[in-house]
Amino acid sequence: MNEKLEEQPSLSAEDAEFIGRLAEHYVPPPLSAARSTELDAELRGRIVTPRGLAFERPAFATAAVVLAIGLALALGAFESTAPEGARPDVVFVASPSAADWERGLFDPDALDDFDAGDDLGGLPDDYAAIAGIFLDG
Amino acid sequence: MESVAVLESSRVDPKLEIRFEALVHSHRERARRLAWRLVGGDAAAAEDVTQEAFVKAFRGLSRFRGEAALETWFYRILVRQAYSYRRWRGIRDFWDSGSTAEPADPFPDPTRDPGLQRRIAAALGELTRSQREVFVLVHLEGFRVRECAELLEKPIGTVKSHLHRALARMRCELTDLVEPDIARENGENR
Repeated sequence: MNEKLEEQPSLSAEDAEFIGRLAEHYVPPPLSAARSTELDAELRGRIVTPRGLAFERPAFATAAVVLAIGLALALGAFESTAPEGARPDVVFVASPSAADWERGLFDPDALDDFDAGDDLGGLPDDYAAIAGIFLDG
Repeated sequence: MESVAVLESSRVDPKLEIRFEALVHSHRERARRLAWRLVGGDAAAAEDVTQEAFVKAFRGLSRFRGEAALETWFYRILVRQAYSYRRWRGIRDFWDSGSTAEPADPFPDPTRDPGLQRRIAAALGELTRSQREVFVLVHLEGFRVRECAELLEKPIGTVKSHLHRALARMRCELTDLVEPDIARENGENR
């Protein structure tokens, strides 16, 4: 790698003084011995776990997901009762109940909740605004 | 300070665990200071960020391949954790009626000027994420440019460019600290 490129940035005396002042003033308050001990104990409590407890959790979760997928695939294979040649692409979608449809006859807005494509529709306004910022960004 | 108990993991080289333990001891204070500077001068948040970074580093120790120094690897986690905190706080502040006021420091340092610290924190807050991180790492924490580049996984030239822009903006935001006469006055007041 280029040695020149690796050099520290050269600072004017004024810049160096400015930065020195920032570094001098912008420091956290010292940690008391008692607080330091507390933090140390807390950290020790969080990272020293019985063998396998903290470390095996991800592996256990992965195994559970694999098992669930396997089970779902197996059940899917056994539960297929469609005759050969039948169209396999029948899709069931959630639909409003009869009572909801009746309510919808009098209040058209009552069926808005069934618009599955509108993920933000059910959010309060403020949450929807935040979500909108991130989704748009 | 109490010693950190020996860490347990069958998948991690015991020598690495000992190195990690040593890192916790030797870098805890620097890590807390770096976190404090990155999160905007909030002591409680800095403690949380530091603790969380140590825990995450420990949990990820089995994935450490030694491609970077252990310290660099840890500080990379810490810097990301600090950014994650800032982002979370930004959303929280937005939710709390758009207030961006810094929380009161529960452990104020009587030997420092809290007003000046808030101004420096605010000026750092005006920088972009990259500018803030390189400025704090190199200028305030004394990391080498090469170390900083490795830590942030950016080219050295990019780090230098961010440093240059960050310094210019900080000077703009804190003009009175650049002026020698005011600086002298501040020095006398201390």
